[in-house]
Amino acid sequence: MSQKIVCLGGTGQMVLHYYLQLYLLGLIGHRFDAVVIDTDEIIDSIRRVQRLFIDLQYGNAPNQALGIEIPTIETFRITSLQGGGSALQRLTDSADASITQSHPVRAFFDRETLAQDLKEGLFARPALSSVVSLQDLSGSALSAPDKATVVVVGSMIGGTGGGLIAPVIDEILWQARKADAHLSLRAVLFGRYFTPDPGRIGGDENRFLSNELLVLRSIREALSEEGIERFYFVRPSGETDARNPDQEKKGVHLPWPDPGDARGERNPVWEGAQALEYLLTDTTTQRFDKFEAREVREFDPPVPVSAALQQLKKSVQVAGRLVDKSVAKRMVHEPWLTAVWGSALPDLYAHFWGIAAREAGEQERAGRFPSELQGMLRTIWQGRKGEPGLRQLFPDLPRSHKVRPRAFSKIPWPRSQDAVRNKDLFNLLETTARRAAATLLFWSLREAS
Amino acid sequence: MRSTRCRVAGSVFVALLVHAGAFAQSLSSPTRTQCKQWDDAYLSTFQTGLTVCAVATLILPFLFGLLVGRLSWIAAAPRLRIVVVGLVVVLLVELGVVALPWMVGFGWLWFSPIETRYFDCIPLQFGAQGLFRGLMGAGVAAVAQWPTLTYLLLLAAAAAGLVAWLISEFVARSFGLSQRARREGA
Repeated sequence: MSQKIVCLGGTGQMVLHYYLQLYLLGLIGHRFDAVVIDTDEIIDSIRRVQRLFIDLQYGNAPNQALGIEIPTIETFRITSLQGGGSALQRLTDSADASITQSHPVRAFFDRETLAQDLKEGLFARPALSSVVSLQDLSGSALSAPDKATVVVVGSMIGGTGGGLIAPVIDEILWQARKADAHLSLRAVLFGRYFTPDPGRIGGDENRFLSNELLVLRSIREALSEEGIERFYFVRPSGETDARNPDQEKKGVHLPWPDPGDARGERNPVWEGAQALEYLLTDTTTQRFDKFEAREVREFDPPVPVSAALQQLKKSVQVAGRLVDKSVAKRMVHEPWLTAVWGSALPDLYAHFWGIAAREAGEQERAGRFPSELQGMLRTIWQGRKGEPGLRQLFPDLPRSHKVRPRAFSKIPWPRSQDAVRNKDLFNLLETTARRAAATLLFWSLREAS
Repeated sequence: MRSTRCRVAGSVFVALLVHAGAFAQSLSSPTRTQCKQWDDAYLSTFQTGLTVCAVATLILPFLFGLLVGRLSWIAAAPRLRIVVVGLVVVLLVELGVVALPWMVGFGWLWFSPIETRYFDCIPLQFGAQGLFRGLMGAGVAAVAQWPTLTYLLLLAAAAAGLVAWLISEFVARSFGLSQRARREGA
């Protein structure tokens, strides 16, 4: 059954940031298609994983990796807001505030809203979503096949999430009607889950409550008939923490909840990621007429924090050793290849090296494949100068347990499937090395034990 | 506390051995025939040590890789393990054949045919055969040539290590990953 995630705004992106980590650690077994829509920049960690998934492609379909069907990530930054400018400029094409005296825009927006700079999003002003259009989305971005489960994730208090949740759900339903597809549409909705920096959002927290009401009422009144089947509401009780948008945009070593915090209540975004997995995989088909009854109030966390932390430590250290210990280089000189590394890893390595040799035309040129592969492993894992790698996607942890070479022979490496290989993807030695490196890191992370 | 006691006991042990040697020395000086016998016996032990050093440096890296490769990163590094095994073998043979007699004297285990009085032969002219049938250090007691013996052990280990590396590379190229890749790419 197909599963689709639609992440809206900064909150939707942050939930996907954590969800992708759980997938890469093998804690989420199924594949999914993620669509990210924001008026602000797409966070760097999502871009890194998106690049990894692109590098993993092996067959003709974008989700066809070696031995597994992988997720896809489509990102859309609403281009009508790119380049910034105030709401007034966007709506009237003029920066002159006096134009509002004679322009109908004044009837819908107050002076403060019109003065809002839209360079970094809609700043908790959902009404401004009328400034943007969903035309930027490709035709298929919000469509899903029959019987698919679609989960929309976003914050009702934010500008982008609050403003786009209802239109996006409407668009999804419209696409489904067009294709005669029956969807199970669900949502993870965030209420006031953080304390804004003073002065960053005009009107501050009063605006949040009003936004929440606006979005919930619009969903209930306009879309409850055929709309959301189930939803989970993330709204921590008690004090909330501040957000750090700059750190979030980089997506570098963002912290995880404490092991004692089983559901991640003290990390609302983590709780949202858990709710997302629950709603994606929950097979309950009961339909409730009353909108309020569709709220999921309690669920067992599909991935408990302690189990996730345990796997995180193993996976990060195994993948790290693959890079630090120059495994790709040392394997070349090993006379006891199978005794040390098992049979599957050398087979996989030889498969990619063989492709490189074939495409390079002569074996001699492919002789630099091992060092190219080791370089690519390092680049993908550790990043380049100034650009973070996959390692920085995960929290920074102290080294906790020893990884021995046998950890690699225990991994169920995929078998080569030359018949389904898309030859155009492997036309250069460098691209073959990059795809091989992505495959080795992906399996090391997901199957580390 | 415990380690201090051990250290004291060890010092006493070594001192006793040295004194025992000195006592034996004071008893009587060795004859030229005895010196020749002991020198030949020491040379024979050293040559065995040299052979062990070379053979162990040649064979052990392969066994180390085969048996411990899954457990140790050093054993899983084909070149590094030759260097590490070679150095460890040299160190052990150096200790067992060259250094220990100077520390605890002769008359034990593989030095049982040699008496500690062999050291008294160093200043004597007793017609010492020298290393490699007189090619090196003829006329000098073998035990006195410990720097040369050390270099010879290092040389033997280096030569054996080189051969081990050549064999390792040959096997890796003929049956290893590059060969598998060649088959895949064909």
